[in-house]
Amino acid sequence: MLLNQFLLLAAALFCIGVYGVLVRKSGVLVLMSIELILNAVNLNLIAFSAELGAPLGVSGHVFALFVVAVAAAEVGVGLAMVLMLYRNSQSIDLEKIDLLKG
Amino acid sequence: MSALIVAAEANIAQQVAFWFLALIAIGCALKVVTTAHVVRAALYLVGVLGSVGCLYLLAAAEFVATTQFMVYIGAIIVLIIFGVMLTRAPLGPMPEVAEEKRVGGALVALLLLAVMGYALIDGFSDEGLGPDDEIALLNGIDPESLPDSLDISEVNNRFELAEAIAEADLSDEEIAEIEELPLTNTQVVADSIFSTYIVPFEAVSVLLLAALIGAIVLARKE
Repeated sequence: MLLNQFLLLAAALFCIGVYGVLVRKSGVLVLMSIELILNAVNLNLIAFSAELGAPLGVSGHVFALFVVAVAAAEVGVGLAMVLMLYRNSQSIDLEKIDLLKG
Repeated sequence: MSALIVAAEANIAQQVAFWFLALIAIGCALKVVTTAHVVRAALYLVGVLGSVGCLYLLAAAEFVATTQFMVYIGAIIVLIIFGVMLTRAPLGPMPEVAEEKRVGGALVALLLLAVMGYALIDGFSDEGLGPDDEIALLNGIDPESLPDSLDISEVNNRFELAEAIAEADLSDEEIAEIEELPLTNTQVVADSIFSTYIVPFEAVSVLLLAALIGAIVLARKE
């Protein structure tokens, strides 16, 4: 297998995630698109780690594990914020949250 | 069963598996960002995460693949579905895409893909997936340190080494020596996390604690 196959697939997933973050209206859906982006990054890390091989390349695996842990923390806090938003304004439509708009 | 092979030898089974998983991942990802049902988006995300986990297995990252399945699919998706439930997301179709942003968003994404694709093809074309030198193929095990009664002339990677060890007839002290060697990637990752990367490991624990407390404080009822 070529290294490029994994990297291009990760780039495609990243761009689909970017599209999702830009276009989606609901807060939960934006968080899901962010998860897509993080998975694309993880795929990249694992691909480079496989190219180097252990013992040097194992840093890629360790980094990917830390990314998974940080993603879990981020989704937890992000969902808590979305919940608070829902409680205050009864909707999670990000278009309607424009209190700071001039 | 052979491990990652350098690009010169195309392995049909690996290619079939890769393209099958890649098409599932891209298809489910596209559905995540375009579907009008929120719950279906969460389930399509499970499809993406599952296929990416299987791609990790294809790249010989078994510990990360297991973590992906258990933590990402088993915990993060469940958390997202709870979030969908608690914010009373509509169970039927709803226009979840901002219409006027769709063209701009697609343009940005395609431009990004073009730039990244050009950089990747320019930088990494024809590089095979899989280490070239013997020490890395054996996960860092020095062939000199293996017991002499083990025939490693035909061993190319750590999977064949494990097979050779299983088939060979070794004495008890030789087996005890071999057990210390990092034959699987999981062992190398474990050695690495608890020696080289112990500080980031502890820092991530503190981060998770902070996130846990933060989420509870944010979301409790007044």
